[in-house]
This record gives sequence, structure tokens and C-alpha cells, in this order.
Amino acid sequence: MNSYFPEFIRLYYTSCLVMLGTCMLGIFSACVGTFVLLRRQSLLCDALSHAALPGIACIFLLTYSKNPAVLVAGGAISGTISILLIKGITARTPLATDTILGIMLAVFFGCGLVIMTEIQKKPISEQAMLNKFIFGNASTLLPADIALIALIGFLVISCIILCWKEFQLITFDAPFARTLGYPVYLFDIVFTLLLILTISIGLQTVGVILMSSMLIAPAAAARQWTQQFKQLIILAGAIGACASMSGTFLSSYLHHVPTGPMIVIVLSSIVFFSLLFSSRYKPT
Amino acid sequence: MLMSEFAVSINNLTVAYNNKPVLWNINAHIPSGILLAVAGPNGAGKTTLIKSILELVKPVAGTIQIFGSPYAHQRNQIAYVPQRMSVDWQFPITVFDAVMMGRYGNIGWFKRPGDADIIAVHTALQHVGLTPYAQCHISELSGGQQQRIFLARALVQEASIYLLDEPFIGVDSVTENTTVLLLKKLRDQGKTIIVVHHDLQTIRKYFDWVLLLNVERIAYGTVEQVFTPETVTAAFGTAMQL
Repeated sequence: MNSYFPEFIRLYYTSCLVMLGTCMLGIFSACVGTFVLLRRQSLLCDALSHAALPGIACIFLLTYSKNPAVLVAGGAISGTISILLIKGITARTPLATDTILGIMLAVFFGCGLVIMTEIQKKPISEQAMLNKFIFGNASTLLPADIALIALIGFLVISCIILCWKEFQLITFDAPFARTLGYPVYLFDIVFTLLLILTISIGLQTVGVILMSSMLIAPAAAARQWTQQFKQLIILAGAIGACASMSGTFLSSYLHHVPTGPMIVIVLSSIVFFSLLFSSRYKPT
Repeated sequence: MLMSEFAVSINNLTVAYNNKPVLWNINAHIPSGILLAVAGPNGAGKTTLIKSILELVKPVAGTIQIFGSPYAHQRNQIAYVPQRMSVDWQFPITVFDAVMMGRYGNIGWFKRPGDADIIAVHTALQHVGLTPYAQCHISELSGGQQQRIFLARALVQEASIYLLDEPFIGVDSVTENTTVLLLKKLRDQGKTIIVVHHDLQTIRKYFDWVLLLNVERIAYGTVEQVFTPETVTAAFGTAMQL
């Protein structure tokens, strides 16, 4: 009995910790994702999350650090480089933005995979943990990871609440916002940084390939049920939280199923359910 | 007349997209308290002129002054009514909230709207006949009613100059009449109204002044003086019925 209780408590504590982490991630990414959806930047989201992989791999190669903050910083740096390249190429070439996004997504992800392959050849014990950044593994979340998710998430949400009316105005009618004197370009930069930060904290749990769904799907599902901005964000957050927790639970219940794909399956089911049963697109 | 006495002074304005001029050496000194139509064929640079006044496009040459000062110093003096199709009407927002956006310039950063802002929005909605729709979603309204949302949003800015870009395209007669009456009322209060307008038949009925454009300035002055079959033919390249 003596040995049973500590083990039970340890498992319970670990599960609660993982659930807390994925729940927070679900809420934070859904809130940011609502703006991404309304700004029609879903593909940018995908490109940024894929672009994080080479950053994570490079920073690991340089530091051999397992510290989540260090790896997340690496992901954020390569995400920032990718957005600078995307903006630069968009401004200087006649290529359409979606073409540039598609190319960047593949280039950065390809570079990330090459560096990861090189790392796997090295006799380093920590290198195995990098694989979780591709498909995600919530069960490996440690208290330090949860603290990082909470810290960055609250920072992101605080910015959104503080600049609520400005973000709403710029998302709805950017040229009009410019006529009122709002620095739309600055807000775009701030929003992109918030997006990169949100993507970075989700990579360990969901992985670079599926992180964009974590942002977009809750908002897409919630959009079918409400026409009010505040309700949309709250509902998207609730859907994100429920889907993340259920996905994490199913992933651990089914054994050896990565968390990212499981969360995305749950989220997709909610999106399809919403599309089928909401009244929004039904003929009247 | 001093420059500061003109509501808008456009001096030698040239604007180009991809090295192709869309406005060429435009000069116009627009006095206060007039209702001005900006007319011309498609691609004449009408919308670009409005966007140049608002500094949404950067000119290649020339300057624009608002009451004798640069736009950046007079931003609060100008209210803008964009083309209806310039926004996503599925955006999750009510009519009331969309109109409230016109107050954001006065409210300032990070602050929430106060009682005065709420009263201003209700008053504007009443002026454009949208009070019953205040809490409706913007997509539930007809094209004309949506145009009136933009008009109400401009009204709450309490500006001295109103810039409207094709406000009568695809709208019902109720909206057109409401808008014209409202614009004339604003004009009578001393406001300056500049409207990009495509319907030559109604220029005489609705406007006091006209600026005929076709990349270059073709004619500018009061409707009685300059809106003639000759100037219209020069602007459109073909004889038009007036």
C-alpha cells in the first residue's frame, strides 16, 4: 500500500499537469486563432509553425539544451525570420502571397528535417526528445513547460484584452483604422509576434505540422454558432480547451498515439459537427 | 483667399501605380461648405484622389493640405466613407459596434467608449434610419442599409470634411434619398462634402461643385459653370447624356 499511494498520486499529479497545460494551450491558441481566421491568415499560421522546426533544431545543435524556453526561443527566432522573408519577398516580387507562403513553409520545414536528421546521427542522448516537436507529445510536459505556456499565454491574452478595440477595428477595416491615425503596420507586427509566441508554446504539445489546426479549428467551429465577436472568442476558447483535454486524454488512453494528431482529430470532429448542425449556412 | 481658408488644397498632385500615372498634376482648392462631386470614367483616378487626401496612397509629386496644414495634423477633421464592398460583411459585429468604430479616433488608445460615445452612436443611427437595427449583425442588413452604417460611422466622427467613395452604388432609393438629404444638411452646417460619383444624371440635382477627372483635371468649379456637355465629353472621351 505504501508504494501504491505515492505512485497513484504521482500519476494523478502528472495527468492533471498535462491536462492543465493542454487546456491552457487550447484556450490561448483559440483566442489568437480567432483573429487569424478573421484576418484570413490561416496559411500564414501554417507557414509560421512549420518555420519553427529549423530554429528548434539549430538552437539544440548550438546549446544541446533541453530547456523548453531555449527551444521555444529558437522556434520563435526562425518563425520571425520566416515572416521577414515572407514580407520582404511579397513587397519585392509580383508573386502572390499564398505562393510565397507555400514555398516558405516547405523550405523551412525541409531545412528543419535535414538538421534533425543530422542531429540524430550524433551520439547525444537528448536528441530523441526533439522528435516530439514534429507531432507533439503532451505526456512529456514538465512543470517548467506548463509555467512557460502559462506565462506566454497570459502575456498574449493580456495584449489582446488591452488592445481589444484596436485589434477589432484593424481586423474589420484596416484602411479606415489608418484614417483614424492608428499605426496599422505596428499592430500587424505586434499581432504577428503574438502569433509566433503562441505557435512556439504549442509546438511541444501539438507539433509543428498540426499547430495551425490548433489555432484555426476552434475559431472555425465557433464561427458557425455565433455572430458576436466576444462570444466567438469565448466559444473558440472553450472548444479549444475541451478538444485539447479530450485529445490528450485519448492520446494517453490509446498508448503511443501522438497528442497532436489526436487533438486535431477531436477538433476536426467539432468543426464538422458545427458545419452540419449549426443553422448558419442552412437555406432559410 | 488664404490656404487655411480652403478645406482641402490639392497642389500639383501626381500619383502612380507601378510607374503608370493614375493622377497627373491635379490642382484643386476646395472651399468649405460645398457639396463636391468627383466624376470621371473608370480608371480616371477618382478613388485614388480620395485615398491621396487620406494619405492611404503616397503621391509621386505634389502636396495636399487640409485647412492649410498637413493631413497628419488635421486627421480628426476628416471622416471617410469607403466603398461598401471594401470590408467583410460576415465579420462578427453588430451595427452598433460598427458605427462605434467611428468614435475610436476620439476615444484614444486602450480606452473603452463612454456615455457620450454611446449617445453619439444612437443619434447617428437615428439620422440614417437604422435605430431598429442597432443590435443586428451587419450581414443581416441590405446593401443600402450597410452603406448607411458607413455613413453613420462617419457622422459620429463629427468631422468638418466628409469623403465618400461611390456611396450610391447598388443602394436602394431610400438610402440614396436619406444620404443626399443628410449630405445637404451637413453642407448647410458648413461642412465640406467630397463624393466620388458615377451617375452623371444626378450631378446637377445633388451637387454644387464638380471636379471632372480623367487622370488629369478636365474641369473644376461650380456645376452651373463647368458641368457642360463639352467638359463631360472631354472627360469621358464620348458624348454623354446629362
